[in-house]
Amino acid sequence: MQPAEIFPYPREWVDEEAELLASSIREWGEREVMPKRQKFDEDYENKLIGPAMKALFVDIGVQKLLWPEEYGGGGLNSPDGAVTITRALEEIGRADPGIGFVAASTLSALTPIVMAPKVNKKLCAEFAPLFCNADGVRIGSPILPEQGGEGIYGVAPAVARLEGREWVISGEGMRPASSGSTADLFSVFCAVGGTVGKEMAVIAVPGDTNGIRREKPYRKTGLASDRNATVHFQNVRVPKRYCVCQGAGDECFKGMFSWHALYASAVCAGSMLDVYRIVKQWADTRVMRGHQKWAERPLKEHPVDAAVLAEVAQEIAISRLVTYDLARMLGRAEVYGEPGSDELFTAARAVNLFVTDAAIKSSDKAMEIMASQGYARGGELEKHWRDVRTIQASMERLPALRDIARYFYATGM
Amino acid sequence: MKTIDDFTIPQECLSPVDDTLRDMVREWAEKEVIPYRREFDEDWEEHKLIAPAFKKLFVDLGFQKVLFPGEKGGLELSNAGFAATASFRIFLEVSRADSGMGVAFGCIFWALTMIGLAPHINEELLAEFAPRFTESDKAVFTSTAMTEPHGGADIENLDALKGGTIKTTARLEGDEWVINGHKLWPTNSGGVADLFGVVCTTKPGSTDEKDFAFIFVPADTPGVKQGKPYQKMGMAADKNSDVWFDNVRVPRRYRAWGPGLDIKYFREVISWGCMGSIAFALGVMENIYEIIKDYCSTRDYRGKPLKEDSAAAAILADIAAAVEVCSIIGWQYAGMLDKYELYGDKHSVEIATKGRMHKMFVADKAIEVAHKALSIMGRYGCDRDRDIEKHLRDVKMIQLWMGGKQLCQMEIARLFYDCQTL
Repeated sequence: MQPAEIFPYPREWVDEEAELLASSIREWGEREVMPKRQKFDEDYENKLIGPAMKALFVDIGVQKLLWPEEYGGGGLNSPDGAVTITRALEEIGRADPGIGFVAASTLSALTPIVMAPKVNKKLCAEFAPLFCNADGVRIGSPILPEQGGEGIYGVAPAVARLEGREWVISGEGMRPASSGSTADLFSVFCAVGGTVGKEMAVIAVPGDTNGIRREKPYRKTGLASDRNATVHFQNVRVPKRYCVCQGAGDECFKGMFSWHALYASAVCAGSMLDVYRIVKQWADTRVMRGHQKWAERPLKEHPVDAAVLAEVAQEIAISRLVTYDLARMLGRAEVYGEPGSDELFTAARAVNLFVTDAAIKSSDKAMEIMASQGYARGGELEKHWRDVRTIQASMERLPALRDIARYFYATGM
Repeated sequence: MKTIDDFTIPQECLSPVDDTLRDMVREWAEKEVIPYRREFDEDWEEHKLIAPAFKKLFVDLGFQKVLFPGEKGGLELSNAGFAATASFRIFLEVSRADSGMGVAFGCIFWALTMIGLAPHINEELLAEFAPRFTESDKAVFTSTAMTEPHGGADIENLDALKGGTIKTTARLEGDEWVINGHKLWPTNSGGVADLFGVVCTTKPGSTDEKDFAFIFVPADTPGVKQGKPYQKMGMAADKNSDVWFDNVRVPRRYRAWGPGLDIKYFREVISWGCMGSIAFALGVMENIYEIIKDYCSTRDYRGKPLKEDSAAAAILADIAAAVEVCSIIGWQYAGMLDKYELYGDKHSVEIATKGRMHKMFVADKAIEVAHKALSIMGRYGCDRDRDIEKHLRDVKMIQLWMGGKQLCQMEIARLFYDCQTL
């Protein structure tokens, strides 16, 4: 039985279409990624990751999923498609959390354009062909507020001012959520008015717009498939209609971030399922001796190791359930409110924090069981350990704690 | 302004040469390692950057000579009475820059602790090996070959298994030992080892302690083959590989001590390994403290330095508290190894197990500290350019080597709870 079937998830929310998509992605992962992923860190020329991403993004169509059907997309732009997306991202994350995080960030960047009921038809008509008619990989990248400054959600990475029918955007040293060096479409948080103020906007910026400068990809702990890099905008001009969200306070941020938190959690849940497979295989086959002859038995039959293995499984089981719960809540605004509401934003923060913590803990404990085989590159596990650690860093733990405290304890931070 | 030198060290545990050692190694680290360490991950196989830094430390500063007798060109540390505390300082300072280099350096003396530390010194063998280290103009590496393919940590599980799972055999033919076996993971293998200390059995399957043998094998002896280095998630400066011994013949005198004594003194290798591991982890923690202090002092959050935000300050306090406690514990354990008349033999089960306990505690804390520092740095935490993530990858390996965490737990339980069947 596959790990994805062993660990419970709310099956009544996952329809046949979602399982079919997940099944295609699982086949993709086992054929295109898992045999090669140990080489991804040194794949500087994109010879391995590139074809694997093309098979996923183009051939299976992950880059089309969120676009409305009438624009050639997969039609999962209704909030209740969240569960299907979650199931898909889980399978991608199981194969490679790096590709999973690129996919997750792409979906996050597109959400303010495509998500029903506020579908931006003009921008769908304009940008959907870029993703849905392409024979190459197309990537979206959110550039989110950064810790610091005066705002409680951090400082906007860019400033934007309207000049006639155009937004003029400037931002130095911006760090996208992912794919800074490769993104085809950025969704950039901007402080409106030319200075950092209270009004924020999310503006879609095609990656080939004049005035965008990208630096070399970061060298980082994990997520080799994510070619993230610092991006600079110098008086980048885009049409006024490219603003996909504008409002006082932090409404734009919270809505988009809730989805981003879900997608990143789904990738981590998938990673954990593969961690389980790896450590189970080790514990099934590794024989450890003990003081007594009867102690010569597989690792999993030793109580001390079984206890650790149980903790790994516990982290996975709970993480998977809460991720699906979050997907369900984001998909049912009539019951739970808008994704940008304080309630759902906080729930998304908390679930994401829990799941990323759990992903780190489960790979950490699995590594304890596997010892040197755990940290050897050939042992598969350490890549998940590095990848989920990098995802959590990207989602930022300290701001998450502040956001959760603000809601539950009415703190003013 | 507080620095890493303000963390508490029990003053009784400092060697008389501590200031000198600290200054020498710290200057080397600042100049030869810290500016380049971000490139070390890509240098894991060839050591083009790492090898010159080793040469400066081992040869130019003379640290590979320290253990050996003065008449052989050494610096007499073996009999000085402060070998552990002096070594602790060197290991700590090297690891503050790069713990992979710390373990590679520490392991040049690891096998030699069997024969080169008071009160049990095999003077004949130590003198024979000394010129390899004291007269060489290149860095010389020793490697302790323990782990085997079938059982991993089982070899190190001495008190439970008495060496009964060792598959590498040593057979006496005339005045020569003939060694056959396959080892995994020894530090300083992968082509760099000059001298191996090999854990063998003279009678496969035997749990008689007399059949446990520790035999030195020069790496250029016919029949010794080192594999290609493994690629790991951290510690690029420490090369590990498969090592094969195929009818390798060495003189009979290369057995460290002989039946019963080899296994007895091998426990000292465990104690020494724990002391080294604590120093490596503490060096990492001290550097993390330096990095995160600088980051939080210069990074603004809502109009003031991040360290002035109480949530961040609470985490910074946890980090400092962990470094403080681990500094006290680590130096104290090194002091216990030097003062064996007071605390008990270094090869005793008590001291070896307490080493396991302290090592487990400090390694766990080092991982916590690295995770916390990384989290404070948010989206920048996993950048190679910030150095924290390298330390995290490295200390995770410190936690897991020498048999892994569960072995430590079982040994501690056996000692403190009189468990009989673990």
